Amino acid sequence: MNSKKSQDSLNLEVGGVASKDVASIGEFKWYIVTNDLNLCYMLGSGLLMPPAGFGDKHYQDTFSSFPGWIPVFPNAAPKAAVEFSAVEKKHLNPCIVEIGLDSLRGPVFALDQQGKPKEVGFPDGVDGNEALLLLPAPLPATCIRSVIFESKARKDACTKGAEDFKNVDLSQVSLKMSKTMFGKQASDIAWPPEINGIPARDVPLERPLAVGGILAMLAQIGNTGNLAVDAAKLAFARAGLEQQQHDVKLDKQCSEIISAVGDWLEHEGLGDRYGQTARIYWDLVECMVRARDENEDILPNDAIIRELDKHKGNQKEDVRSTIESLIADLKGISSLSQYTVTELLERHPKPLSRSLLLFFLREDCSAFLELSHDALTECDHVLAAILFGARERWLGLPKRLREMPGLREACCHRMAVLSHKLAGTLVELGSPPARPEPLRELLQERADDKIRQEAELMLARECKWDCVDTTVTLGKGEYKIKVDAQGVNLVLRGWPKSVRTCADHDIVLKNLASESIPAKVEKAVRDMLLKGKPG
Amino acid sequence: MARRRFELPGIQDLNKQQEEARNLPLEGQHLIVGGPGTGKSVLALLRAKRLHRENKEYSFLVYNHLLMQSSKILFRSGGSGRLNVDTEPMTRWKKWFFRIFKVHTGKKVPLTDTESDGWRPIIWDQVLDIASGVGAVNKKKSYLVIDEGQDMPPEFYKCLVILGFENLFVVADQNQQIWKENSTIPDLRDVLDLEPPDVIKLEKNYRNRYPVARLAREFYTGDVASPPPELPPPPSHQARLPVLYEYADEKTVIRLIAKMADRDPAKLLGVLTYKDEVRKRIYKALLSEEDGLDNGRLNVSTHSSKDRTEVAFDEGGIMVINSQACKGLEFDTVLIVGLNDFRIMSDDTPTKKLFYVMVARAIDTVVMFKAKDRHCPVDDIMPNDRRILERM
Repeated sequence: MNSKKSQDSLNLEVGGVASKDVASIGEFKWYIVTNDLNLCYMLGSGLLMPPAGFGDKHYQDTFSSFPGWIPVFPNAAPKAAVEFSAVEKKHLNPCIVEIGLDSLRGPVFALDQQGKPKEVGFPDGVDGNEALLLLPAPLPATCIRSVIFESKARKDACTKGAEDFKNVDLSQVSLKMSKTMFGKQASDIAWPPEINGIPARDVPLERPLAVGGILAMLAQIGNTGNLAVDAAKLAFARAGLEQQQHDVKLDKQCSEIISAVGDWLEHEGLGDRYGQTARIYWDLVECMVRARDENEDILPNDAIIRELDKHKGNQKEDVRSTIESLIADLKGISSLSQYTVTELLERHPKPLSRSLLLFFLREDCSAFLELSHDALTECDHVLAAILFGARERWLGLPKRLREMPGLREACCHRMAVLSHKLAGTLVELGSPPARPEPLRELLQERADDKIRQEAELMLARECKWDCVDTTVTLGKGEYKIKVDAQGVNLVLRGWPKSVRTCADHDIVLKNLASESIPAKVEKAVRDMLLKGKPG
Repeated sequence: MARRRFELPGIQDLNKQQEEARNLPLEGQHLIVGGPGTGKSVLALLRAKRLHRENKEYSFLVYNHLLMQSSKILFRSGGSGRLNVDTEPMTRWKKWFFRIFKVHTGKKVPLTDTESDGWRPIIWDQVLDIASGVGAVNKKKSYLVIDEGQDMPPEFYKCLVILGFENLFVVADQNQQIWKENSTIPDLRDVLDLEPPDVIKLEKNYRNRYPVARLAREFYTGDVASPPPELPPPPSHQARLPVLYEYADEKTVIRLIAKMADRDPAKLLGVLTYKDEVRKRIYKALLSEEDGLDNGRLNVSTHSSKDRTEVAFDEGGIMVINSQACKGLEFDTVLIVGLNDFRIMSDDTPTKKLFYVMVARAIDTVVMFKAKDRHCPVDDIMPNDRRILERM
């Protein structure tokens, strides 16, 4: 369903802003019912989403009964819904998931105890007597408060099973065991309920998932330089529907491409406001998303070559021949090209072409983040990061690329917000969680001098960077240098006036741009910069 | 050397068939059948990881040394580097069997007096007689995970059952039999006492890109017990095809391979040769290639069936091996060098099977190199359709 249909079918009269005191429904607990494999998939994708988002891998659960909606049970989950969610395969473990809806505002369907649906505004129209709420999907997976299993064995099966996957992190959720929630406390509502009048919804997911990947990759390369920081600021702000404007600096062509990110992610079309290079670049990003959205069987790299081929036809001779040469070189990268990376970069000096070369040279985000080459500019990196993020999406990112503090919350929320914006549901999910700031930004903008210097020293020490100077200020006098088996000692009589050790700020920023920082070190430095002390 | 990254699968990467196999109980006998690239070995490794996590006593058996090395590296991989975990349970099946047979029967495995292909074959009749004499003496709750299970003879499994091994997780593909001693899928089903519906069939190819899978299909010889994996859906647009490259000078081939490896040092290229002398020559030539490369000298390794050295499957570079040794392995790109050396006997089935296995090792692409103006017997089995194999 497109956004218009979605609004019409709900016959919306309720606005997004709640007038009712949220505390009055604050005592409610909200539950969804699914199984462990669907849960893991949703944690991997970052969204509580309908079966359509699972490809062919959705196992029947309560979401199957109302396509496009999230069935939410107030206070207790029905026994029948639990059984329904684990019946497809023997190995499924049903689970009841408690979610937080404190920030949710907007139109939902409420079913009374007789199973009669009514369109209401959440939370205003909810009085606690509902048997079931149907919320328009998706919700950010970060709204999960806890996951409850009937037995320890089922909980353990889920935990152990999740360890087989690179992108499912159960450490982010609280896992519990409660027999009574599956027994005595369970409600007797029949499932699936026979309800008419709930329209099936198509939920935009591909673009939000791609945007999640793009945001994560922009955050990952945030230490590369100021352009990367600006690009991340802009993209996170636009994805979170913030009004704040961000100017992107540096060279004209690059800034024009990057500044179009907001219009692209809201699917507004770039039109004539942007130059040809920006339009081609975002068409290439778009073609990957579209291919997935339309379930087209085409690899992202092949989709890009096809799109370039299309653009070639509309160009003047010189541009056409540049595109032709680029296509030939891209095809040759994984085959019999006669060029090295250096030679390829020399042949293609412009950022758009180079971002594509990088995209074809490395197969995933992790490999891209490890790539460095002296000839590459910051702009090349930023444009390539966006392509990699769009290809891999949030779903494809391994756990280690989601670990940056605050990244998961910031990305999942924005993916869900964007989906609702594209579908026009009028659902609001509250203020977007803050964008995770890269160390570079924190070092430049956030901390006072003393803390910054301490943080830089910590980085230099932990990463073994040769950029630390120690200044010993001495009184007037003659000083000896003594050499012995232990090394060289400067022998001072009396007390030095001061000893100052500091890391070279510029070298720290330069190293940050080119080296990956171990997660533990990153966390300690980040804590120092944000809290004034190591975590 | 650039480290090659082995990742666990993402939740979206396993389909429902594979999930069914992944979630099989630890106890009991299980048989998973599927063609190349259907994820059999991934499932065997996930099973081994699970047994390891749960502190179970298990062994992971493979046919040859190379596959064992590859499995060990995959087992230790944790995404961002090697994990410090015990890979001792991963071993060649014969080595394990010789030890376990002695432990349980007190006797050595009977071997023939004469060698065949450099080995003294096992006298299986006597093995089974001895095993029957002692019966189900294995009282430990032990678990066996067997990769490429079609390569072990049926008597091996019979002996295991007689000796009391009850928990077996076997993955197999009858179409990848390139050894003399082997088990068919009905053999395995029979000895594991499984009905056909109990066997999980993996049908979808996840390893190979469509063009690679399509080329492999050209060499499929047909076996109903172990059907070929479903081809990935044909893409609406395919820009890059496997290549048959004709060269006048072998130096050109060496240069092209060197540049390919240099462009992404984290990728592993498998150079497969038919003759051992070609293997040695190509290896030597690649070792001395460094001029004009971004990353200097290449990481080139070679391996023959006699070697027992550790092979660094977790490093990118070029591995030059004989075609027979490639089974069960996985390379980013497969380069078949010396195409003219491959032979076809009166029945082309063995050669086709070999090409089926070689081509299916590739994740991304396949390039075959053929010398110009020299007779090439395998021309007869090469597809002429340029939508399947591009000729350069």
